[in-house]
Amino acid sequence: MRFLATSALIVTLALAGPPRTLAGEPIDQLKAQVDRVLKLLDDPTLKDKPKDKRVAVRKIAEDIFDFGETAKRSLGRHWAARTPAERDEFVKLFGDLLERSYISKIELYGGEKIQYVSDKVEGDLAAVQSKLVTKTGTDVPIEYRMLKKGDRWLVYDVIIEGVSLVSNYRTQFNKIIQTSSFAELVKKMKSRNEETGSAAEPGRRV
Amino acid sequence: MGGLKAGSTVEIAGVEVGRVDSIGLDNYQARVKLRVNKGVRLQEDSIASIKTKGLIGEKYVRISPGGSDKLIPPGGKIRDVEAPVDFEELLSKYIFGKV
Repeated sequence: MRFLATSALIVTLALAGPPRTLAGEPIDQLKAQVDRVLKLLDDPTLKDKPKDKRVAVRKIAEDIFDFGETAKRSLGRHWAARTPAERDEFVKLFGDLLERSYISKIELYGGEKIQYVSDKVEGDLAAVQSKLVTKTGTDVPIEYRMLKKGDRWLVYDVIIEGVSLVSNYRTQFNKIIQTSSFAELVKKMKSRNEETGSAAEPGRRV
Repeated sequence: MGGLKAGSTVEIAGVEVGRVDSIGLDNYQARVKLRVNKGVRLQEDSIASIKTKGLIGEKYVRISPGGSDKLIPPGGKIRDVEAPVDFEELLSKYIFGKV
């Protein structure tokens, strides 16, 4: 009997149930920060300054996300083998990657509604359920995973339509490191940043 | 749980490391109990995802190991989970829109 031989460790996992309606600290803090972003996008003085806008959004993003935690989790078990200098560099490159992939897309925001459904706190971790309602009326479920640092709740993972950002990057990073090396991953991330760095300046666009 | 059942496999990097022991409902949340082989250590930030073998194959639990130096003790909980993605539902939602 296999089970008898393998009964060392039993773990459980829970999947999100029905929403609760009581809003707590994580929702309040998240909503306040997201509202700052929305306000900024509406700011008429930033209307024709996409670069300034992006810098400002990134600054708020740093109040919403714990980039260090997200980077660490995305690197998964390869994090432990990194030196402090490698970790610092990786966190920075990862922040740039997220900026390129998501913050730059924020320009596309066209007044979709954000609804905060519920939050659930368990110790120093929390999950906030929200949804984005598109103009065609489609709900896109978005879950924020947060952790408490001092008295602030910071996001370390975003799960859109059931797909986790950290899990997605963890799989990709692991594949690159296993088939080549960590140095190769860093090289890849750096060259990608340089490409888009030049694309972001309109004067240099070909 | 979309077809996951007691006896479904638990895998890390495609290697079977255990089985689903039981699935139950606890306060309207699905709770999956896993039995993991001796010697397999799971970091606190491990992620458990419910995946499908191929496009229409059976469901299994994939664990991707984390970077934390804290380990989940026996009887502990994997806190980061990905529910199964229902492709049919997802497709029809974005193709046909929602009522």
